[in-house]
Amino acid sequence: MNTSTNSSLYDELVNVTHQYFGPAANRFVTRQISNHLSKDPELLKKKDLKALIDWISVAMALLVEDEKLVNKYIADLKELADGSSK
Amino acid sequence: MGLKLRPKLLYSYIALLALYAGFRLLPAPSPATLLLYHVSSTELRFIELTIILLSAGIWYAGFYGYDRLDTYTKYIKNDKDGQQVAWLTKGIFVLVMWLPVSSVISSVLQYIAMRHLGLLTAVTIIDNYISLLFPLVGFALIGVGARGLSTLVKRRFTYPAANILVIILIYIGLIYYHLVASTYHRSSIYHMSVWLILVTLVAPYMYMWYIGLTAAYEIYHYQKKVAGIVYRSSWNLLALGLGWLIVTSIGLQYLTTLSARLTKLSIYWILAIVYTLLIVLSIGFVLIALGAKKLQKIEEV
Repeated sequence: MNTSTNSSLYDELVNVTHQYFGPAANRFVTRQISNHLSKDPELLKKKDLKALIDWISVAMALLVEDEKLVNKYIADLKELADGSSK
Repeated sequence: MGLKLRPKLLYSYIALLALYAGFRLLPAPSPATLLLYHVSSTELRFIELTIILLSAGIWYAGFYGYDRLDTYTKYIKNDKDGQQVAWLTKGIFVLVMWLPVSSVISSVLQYIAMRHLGLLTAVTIIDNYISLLFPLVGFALIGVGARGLSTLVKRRFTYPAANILVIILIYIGLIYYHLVASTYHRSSIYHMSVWLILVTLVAPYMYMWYIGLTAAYEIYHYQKKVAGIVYRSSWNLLALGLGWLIVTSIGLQYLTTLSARLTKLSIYWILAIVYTLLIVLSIGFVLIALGAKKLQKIEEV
């Protein structure tokens, strides 16, 4: 498994998040990585994604009541995680 | 956090309210005022007190809405949308300050005019320009932010929308011009020649309404077109609040300029009309506060 530093992984994560958070996507993702994984967003690795998605699902549940929307976002993130691990 | 204000804002609020209350309640009412409204000195002071209490609530709603919006702006200040929202916040601050500052200045000026009747003309003119200046600056700042936000979503006025706006403004302007020009007591209300009124009051008011309505439209479009389902829905209340504030403050100023025509009504009817409008205006601040709170949450989770 490739666990090297992958700056585009962060960009992809922001791209997916952009559909949900628009201009706030970058800030949201950066904050989740910094606060919960305690690391620099540029140092995000594929192995970090699972924990990050768990944290994001918690954050999303706090912000949005629409369960379908939360599930869709998490599914999109999982798809990204699966795709990037292939 | 509840409905608390930051200390700096809270102290400013208390200071303005104390000044306003002091200048409204402490000096003895003029006999002319008592005669005009057929009330006793105690009754007039009671009316003043209800006005002060109502104003206190409305100002607080404004301060609170600004406080929430400012907190949100600080979270996003370094981003593209943050820079535009910062302009909106500055504009809202000026609009929030408009009510208390103009009320305090007006009370102080009236106090002076009551003791030095020779200054009545100057006091009235200053009062009229202060009532214009604050919302004009506020709307100009909001306009800059709204234009910036609409640029971010690459949305500008459509040709039909621009035409509709111009038509509305032409009619609003013509009615306003007619009302000002045909006011029976014009010289005692404005103390200026009709040309000076048109050039320095009517024209700036019309310009202000133009930038205000344009800003309301652009904010509405930003909220409709910006990416991000969660972000967009959080903007609903803020966009509604800003639009509400702009449109109702336009209505309020429009009606204020018609005040000379309302003098036939009793003081209670005049107060009821003006304060109903002020309460409607305060709803805009509450919507802004709720919207900013929702957006703030996105930046805190």
